[in-house]
Amino acid sequence: MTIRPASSIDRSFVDVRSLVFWVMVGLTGYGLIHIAPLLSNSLTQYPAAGLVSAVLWSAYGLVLMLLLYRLELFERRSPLTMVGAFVWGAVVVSGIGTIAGPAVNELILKIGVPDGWAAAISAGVTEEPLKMLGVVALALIPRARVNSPIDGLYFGLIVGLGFEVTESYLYTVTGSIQEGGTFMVILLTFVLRGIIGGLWNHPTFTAITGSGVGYFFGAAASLLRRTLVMVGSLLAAIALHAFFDSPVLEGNPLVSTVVKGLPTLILFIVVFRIAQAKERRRFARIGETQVPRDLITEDELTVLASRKARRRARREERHLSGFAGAHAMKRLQRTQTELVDAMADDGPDADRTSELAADVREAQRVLLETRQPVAVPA
Amino acid sequence: MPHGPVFWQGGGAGSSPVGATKEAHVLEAWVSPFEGGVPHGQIRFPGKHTLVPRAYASWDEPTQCPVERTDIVNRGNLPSDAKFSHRVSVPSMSSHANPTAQSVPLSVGLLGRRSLLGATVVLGIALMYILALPALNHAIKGEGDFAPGEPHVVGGNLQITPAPGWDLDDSSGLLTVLSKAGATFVPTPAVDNEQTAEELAQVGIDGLKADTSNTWVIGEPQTFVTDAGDHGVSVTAHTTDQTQMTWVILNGSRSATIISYSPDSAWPTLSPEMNEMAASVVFLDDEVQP
Repeated sequence: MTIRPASSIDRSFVDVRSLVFWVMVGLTGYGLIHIAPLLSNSLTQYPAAGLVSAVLWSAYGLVLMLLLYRLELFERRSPLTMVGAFVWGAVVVSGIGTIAGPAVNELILKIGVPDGWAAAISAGVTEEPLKMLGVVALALIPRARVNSPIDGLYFGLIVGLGFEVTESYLYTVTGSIQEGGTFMVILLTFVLRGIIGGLWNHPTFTAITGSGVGYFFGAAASLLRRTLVMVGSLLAAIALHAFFDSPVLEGNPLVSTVVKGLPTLILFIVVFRIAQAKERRRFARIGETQVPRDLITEDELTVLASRKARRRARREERHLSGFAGAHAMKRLQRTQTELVDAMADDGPDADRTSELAADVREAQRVLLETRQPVAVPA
Repeated sequence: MPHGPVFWQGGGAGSSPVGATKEAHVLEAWVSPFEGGVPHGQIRFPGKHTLVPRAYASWDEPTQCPVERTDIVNRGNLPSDAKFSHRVSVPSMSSHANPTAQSVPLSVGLLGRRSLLGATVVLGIALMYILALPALNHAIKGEGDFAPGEPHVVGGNLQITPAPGWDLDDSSGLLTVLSKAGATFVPTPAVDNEQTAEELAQVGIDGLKADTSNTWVIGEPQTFVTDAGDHGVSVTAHTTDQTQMTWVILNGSRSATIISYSPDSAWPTLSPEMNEMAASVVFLDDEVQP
């Protein structure tokens, strides 16, 4: 009897047996109820401006999502789960934020915090935990495969991106409506929020908290240690968010954004490097101990561990056997990476693992064929 | 010793390493390295049943498989008469092994579960933001809360109707400051004036352009009419994190100006309310003491 492991049946977060999935669906509906009027208002009052803003910000989100997908080094995550993470940020956090944001702000004002700081603190206190909750929800659904800091960081980036897109879209359209639907305002706001201030804003905050969530769910450390890491990452994100929105260093938006964004960027890079190093070690360990050497050699494992080495290997292959060889090398690297991933997630006897092992052999054969010397006519 | 996965081949209840049930046959189990050298594994049953170890053993050398004892707990839908927790003894594959009990990563422990507790936590936190915090805010009445629909007189000659949730921050002298969610809305009393609303709005625009401490993206002036039928002009300007809106309203030879500042996170939600409040402006003929 052949058993098909669940992991190869479906790697997306859509799991109708999971109660967390249905909670996510319900909260998405709730968010939609609160966001839809704001969206429809913009489209009915100024259809052209609303449409242009929608296209612009959707393209922004899509391009960044594709970029993130392409930049994955060891694992291609489920596109459906990526969409789920994006929707959580775009709909759930935005929708709940319209209710919770003003309430939290007023509560903070009532305890005597000055106006500018109250707005900054309330944005962090409201939005960061809600965005993190999206990564937690995904981690609670095993099929979503959030079981390492790099997984949490990755989905955190996407949740933050979703929120960034909705918030910026609403901001752009509202601004445009206020000024008669002018396209120049749309364009300027896009540059201001998307290019200058967007990238080290919500996605990076949530990536930091997401890595904490990934550690909490994926590490075998004590509960206390895992909780401290997760809560610490959340507090760091709230503090960075509040600092970014704070009234200090106001003035030139470019200088202000860069100076305020710098701590976020530095922390993000540190967290990313730690998370990626852990992932690299895990990849190497699984590759070394579980994959037969005829499928991935020691040298190939070293090459697969870094993007730079992979590129160099493809370049060398191109010099050796042309573009066909470089293409064959790329295919071999991709299938070998997927094989290690399948070995870790599905086990050595899973259908997916067997299929990928066959794919690797086929890719090796094709690569060898491209290296055959071409017969030169006499 | 072979390195890599450890396989347990099982047959019926009697011969399976977990002493499983009549209905469930253990087919295989595998253990693979997990982060930090902790083995990660699961035991698969026919159908959708999956058992996962509840406790793990660490290994020092990836090429050794020192799993000696582990608990197996049901994470699937095995029949109710199945025994779900058993001790498993697997012969040590290395005499050098030094297993140490460690906790299972939560992501492994969740395999096959419906996560009632997790769903409750996610829903509970969401409800805290949806219901509890707004209710708490409502319960703690601020000093300057308005009764719904209650008009407020500014400087004795202008009346404005605050939208729900707006508080009176300051009403000393001629200055009135309303606030909500970090946004401020400052109507000034009516003054005698000979300029048009557009000219007055232009003065504000010139002021923003001359502001060297901020770079403003300034929109085109838009005309509007108040509920009382007065002509007005509004201008919106943005920086990276805040928005300023200005409304200039004319009533005969008098004018009134309203300025608001909002953090960008609150502005899309508050903008319609602020427009409503600007449209609610009524010029009073007789001086009213606030």
